[in-house]
Amino acid sequence: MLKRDHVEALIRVELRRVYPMALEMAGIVGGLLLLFIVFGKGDAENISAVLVGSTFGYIVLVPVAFSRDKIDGGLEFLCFLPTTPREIASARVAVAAIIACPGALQIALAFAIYGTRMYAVPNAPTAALILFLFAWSALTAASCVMLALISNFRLQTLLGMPLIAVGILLIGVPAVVRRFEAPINATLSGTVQHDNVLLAVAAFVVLLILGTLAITYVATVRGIATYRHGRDQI
Amino acid sequence: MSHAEALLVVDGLIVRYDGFMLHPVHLSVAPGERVALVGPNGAGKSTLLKAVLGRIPDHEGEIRVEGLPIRENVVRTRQRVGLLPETLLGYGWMPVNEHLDFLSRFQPNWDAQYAVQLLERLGIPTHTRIAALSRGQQVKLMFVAAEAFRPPLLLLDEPTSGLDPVVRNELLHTIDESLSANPGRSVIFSTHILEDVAALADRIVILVDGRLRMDIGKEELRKQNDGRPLTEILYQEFAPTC
Repeated sequence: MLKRDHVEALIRVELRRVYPMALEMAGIVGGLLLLFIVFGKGDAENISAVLVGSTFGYIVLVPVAFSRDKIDGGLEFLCFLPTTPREIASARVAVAAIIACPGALQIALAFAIYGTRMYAVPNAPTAALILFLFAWSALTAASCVMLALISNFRLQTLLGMPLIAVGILLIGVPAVVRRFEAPINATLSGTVQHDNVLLAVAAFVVLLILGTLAITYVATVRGIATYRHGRDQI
Repeated sequence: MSHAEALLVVDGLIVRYDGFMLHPVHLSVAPGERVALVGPNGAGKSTLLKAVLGRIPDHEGEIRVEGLPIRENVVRTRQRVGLLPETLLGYGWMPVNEHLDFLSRFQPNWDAQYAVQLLERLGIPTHTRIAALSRGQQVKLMFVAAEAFRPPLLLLDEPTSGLDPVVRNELLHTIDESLSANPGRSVIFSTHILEDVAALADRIVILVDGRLRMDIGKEELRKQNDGRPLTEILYQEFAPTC
């Protein structure tokens, strides 16, 4: 059983620490956009690229804070409290979900600015709202994946193979998208016109996100339960 | 004392780390007892205290607090046992008052007024960040955190280690007063400062290389040594190991 008081207290403390970083990040994004506009590069494509590209920052905030907790003894402090690994993990997941909100908002904004020009969307406000919800849950799930990895593996290990995988992903995926941009756009344009296909894709994505959240939550709880300061911190 | 009456029962506790083993430890602490856990660095004192708080889940043997096994009652155990850790436990960026407020959310018996009294008495500034406190102030704050809910059992891990004599005496005096105000409460404190043992303990448990070497009452030890001062006895008998 999760005790609401405990989880709330843990969420409040984590937010107290992470939200200034999230604000800083939002400020940096705002500054970048301003620079683009000031230097005459503020077209829809550039603005959208900045908005979408900077969402990665919101994914890493909570896992990075968790990693620091493992190193400096913050997690050890929590592990000595009358609380459970499930409560600690739940609070972190909740904070990851809260911090993902501005990231999802940026994606929805990018869609409103640029996406609606690219695709013939029948109901743009609804589509933007749905996109916001999808982006929010996907960003939360991505953050939870990192949280699960950091809670179960030493930072040293994570800086090895998974980093290479992330590097390949960051370089490889955009390259593939650029290569197949035209057919992807055609498919997307076709898809948004067909309700059934759209619904099936949406259901698949929802299931994928829910599954990811469930697996990563269990893994994070396990990581916290087996954590021992001084042995696993780096 | 039967196990049913004991506040804490450690029954055949075994802990294994890489290169260290806490051999089967049997220990029973009655309400009101003040136990000094004496031993050299690496003897297993902190490990034993951590295990009592349920922080070493992969231990063998059984630990019971107020008759309940800690494995199935970790949260309850931590609401009945206060810990003053050897190293700072807390967020360095957090001010003292926020730290205590945060802790109070997890302790149903937290007495905020008592916590403020202790802070004032020990001269800890309430709005200063924990990281900005001196070592002595940090230790005193950890004591306030362990004491503010008046747990039946206090675990103090090297409470006076690294403190100057003034702060050390102030802390020992406060610990003594707090325990004397509620005679049913017990304390286990680990130390290698023999003067602390003489000042606070009425029972001495010696742990060396993960083995419980001796468990004896303070008065009994004195009697066995013709009433000599306790620090002298301990220094002569055990100093080589401590």
